[in-house]
Amino acid sequence: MATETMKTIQLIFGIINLFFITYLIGYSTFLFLSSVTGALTLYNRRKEILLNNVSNQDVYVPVTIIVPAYNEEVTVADTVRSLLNLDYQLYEIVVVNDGSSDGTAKALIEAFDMKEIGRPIRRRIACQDVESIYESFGQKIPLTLINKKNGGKADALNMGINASNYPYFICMDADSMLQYDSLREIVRPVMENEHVVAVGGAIRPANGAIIDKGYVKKYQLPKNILACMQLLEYERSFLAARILLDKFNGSMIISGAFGLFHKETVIEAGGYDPTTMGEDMELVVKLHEYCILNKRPYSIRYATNAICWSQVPERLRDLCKQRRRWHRGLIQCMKTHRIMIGKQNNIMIGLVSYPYFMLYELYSPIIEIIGVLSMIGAYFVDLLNVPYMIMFFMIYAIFGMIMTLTSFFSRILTIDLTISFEDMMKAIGLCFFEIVILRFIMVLVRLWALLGINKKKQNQWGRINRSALNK
Amino acid sequence: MSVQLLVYIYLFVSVSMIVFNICHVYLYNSDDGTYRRRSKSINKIVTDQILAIEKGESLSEKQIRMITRKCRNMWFLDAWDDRVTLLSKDHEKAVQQYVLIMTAMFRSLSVDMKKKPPVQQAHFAHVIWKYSIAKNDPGGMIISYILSLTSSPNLYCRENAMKVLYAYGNVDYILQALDKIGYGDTFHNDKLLVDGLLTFSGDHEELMSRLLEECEYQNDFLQQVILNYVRFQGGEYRDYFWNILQDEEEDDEIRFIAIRYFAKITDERAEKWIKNVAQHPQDQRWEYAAISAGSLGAYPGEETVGILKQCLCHGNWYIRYNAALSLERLNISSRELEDILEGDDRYAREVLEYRIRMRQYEKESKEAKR
Repeated sequence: MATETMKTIQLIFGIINLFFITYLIGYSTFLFLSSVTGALTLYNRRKEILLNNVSNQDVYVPVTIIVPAYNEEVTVADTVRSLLNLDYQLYEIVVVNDGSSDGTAKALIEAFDMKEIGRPIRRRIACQDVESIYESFGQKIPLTLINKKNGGKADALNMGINASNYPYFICMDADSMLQYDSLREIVRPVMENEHVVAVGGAIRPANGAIIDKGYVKKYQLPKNILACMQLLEYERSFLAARILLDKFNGSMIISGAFGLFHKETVIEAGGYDPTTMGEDMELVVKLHEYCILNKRPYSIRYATNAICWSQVPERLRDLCKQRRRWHRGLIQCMKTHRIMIGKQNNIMIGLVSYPYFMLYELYSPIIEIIGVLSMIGAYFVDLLNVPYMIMFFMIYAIFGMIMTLTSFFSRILTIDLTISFEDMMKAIGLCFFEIVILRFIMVLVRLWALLGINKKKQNQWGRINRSALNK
Repeated sequence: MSVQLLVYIYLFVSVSMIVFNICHVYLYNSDDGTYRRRSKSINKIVTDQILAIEKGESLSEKQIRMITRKCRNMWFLDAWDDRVTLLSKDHEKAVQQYVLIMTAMFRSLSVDMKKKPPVQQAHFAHVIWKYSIAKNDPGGMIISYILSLTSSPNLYCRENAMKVLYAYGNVDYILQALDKIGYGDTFHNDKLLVDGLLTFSGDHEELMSRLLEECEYQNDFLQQVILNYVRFQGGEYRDYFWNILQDEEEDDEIRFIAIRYFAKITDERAEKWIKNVAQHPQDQRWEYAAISAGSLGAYPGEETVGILKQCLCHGNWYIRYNAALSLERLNISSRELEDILEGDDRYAREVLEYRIRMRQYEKESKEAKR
């Protein structure tokens, strides 16, 4: 009897073992392919720029930059000031103040001598009512401030789309800064392919960097350890994964901090969904779905050299809050848009992107926790070789570190940034802690989100403590 | 066993990645290092050659062959370009002569370049454009190479080749190139072409008339490019555009260009037509009325103001907005618009008030700047 029970236990652990081997091989392959593809893509892009493979696209793609703002009085004027200095000719800026309770509107009105004006706005996408509109007349770039009733970030973006005068719009955060050439870079895919409906930009943590009028004056790793670990994580995910997914039109996320969209397609698809927490991912998935269902040729691209500098949380509490919100957004999005699997005109999204996000993002906390629990179980029934397990984890950690460092150094090399030897050592050292500690904490945070804890706080602005940029 | 296999796989991939990283960093550094090394060697040669020309000496065939051999490598060509640009500031005439002599090198390179990757070919075309090399080789190998590039699948090859052709100023070549791009398989942004045509260095009148001769036989894409070019260039082809306006069978987008043309080049026949369309908008074809309302700003007069006021009260947002823009363009005073500003139509009032207020603020801002 005991032997039979043991056999059953062994069988169960054998199945679990097999599952995890397949799971990890899948993830490692993805990570490996994405790191290599990312590094090579950046290398080729640098070569193209050096060899004058560029065109003057700044007059052909007029762009509206929409800056949704909620209680951003500290950063909003600096953000707009930096936007006014971009190396691009034809664009306008629309700041949507989503019922802030602080002096966001006042800060802008005073900084740019804005005048109240009764501008009629055609509401093609539903959104909360306008309270007042201000425009600036002394700037070389048209600047509009729309004060509206509070409705959340998605609602503010929808208002910005309604007010936009140009065929393409960019969404960004009020606490972010665009690099001087970012608009030129983000519209490149639109010039190359008429079917491009959205382009994602690269987000780089601004903590530690000094950026003046869109130019990086000084670059060093953030002093804050948590921000530094996030920087490494950003490089891995933005550089690696997104470039690979971009190769087969499989991008499912364009960060809310910097993305370009074709206005008409977004309006036809229904705009941002104000009922979801991850409005940025939801819109991209919705665009895929809309174009697939309507049999429209389309392309969603990622512009590796279009850089947006954004502040990342420096406190663990803020980071957990942010990631919980992201994961809840992911859950809502994956539930709503299951229809895409197996659709004919973009098979790759159904066969690769969607399952990837399902297995390695959405359900990964559960899978990883099961893995840990099964190891504990295996230890108690004496099926676990502890030294072997430690060796395995060490190798896994080294593997992850190498992938992260590949992405990190590729980026540093290709955008001609120089970092000190100290920072280099810091990156190598922190890489290990990012993989072993930060990732584990994030697994717990995502598990928390997945289990539906703290459900009430939906559709609000994700708030983290921020300081003025460059300080 | 399976776990062991996994460990080995990880180890293998980790080692491979380290090797990949080393190669990657080496490639970067070697690119930069090679560039620096090659720059150094080519800088001396180019400087010596230009200084020799300045002294009135001539370059031997051997010297030209030597530099041609080096410039087959893109980094050498890039370094050559950088050096010539630098020297042109202080030795302008000598550089001009030098570039003329170097046409032989470009002729030879245009044969080799056909086998190179698109990124290098686009760069080569850019250098040809920068130094107007093609002009030194009329009807020769360089221009036929450039023409072949206009059917490349790579956008930057096509675009840089077109830049050479615009600067060259030959109508026949432009026609050939447009044909290749217009009927090619890859997308080329029409605005890039229109804007490029406007920079044409030859006779615009000849180009416009030759393009219009062919226009009706072209596909919709090329027709739009040609008509938009003529519109922006302001060519006097009223009859041509009038015929398009009248042709109900014609594609809508083409007819929209014709309406916009008459917002720039006025015509009595077109005025009547535009007024009629703006006055009697059709729900299914509201775009005609919207564009017409926007074009009426070019036709001052009481009748126009009356029609525009009528358009201001239309249910379609674009018709209303364009009418307000036209009234603004016609510089109509607030007094003349009292009936709208004090009328019951809230939408008409709002859009008009907005434009008037905007104009006032803009004026104030300009005065404050003075």
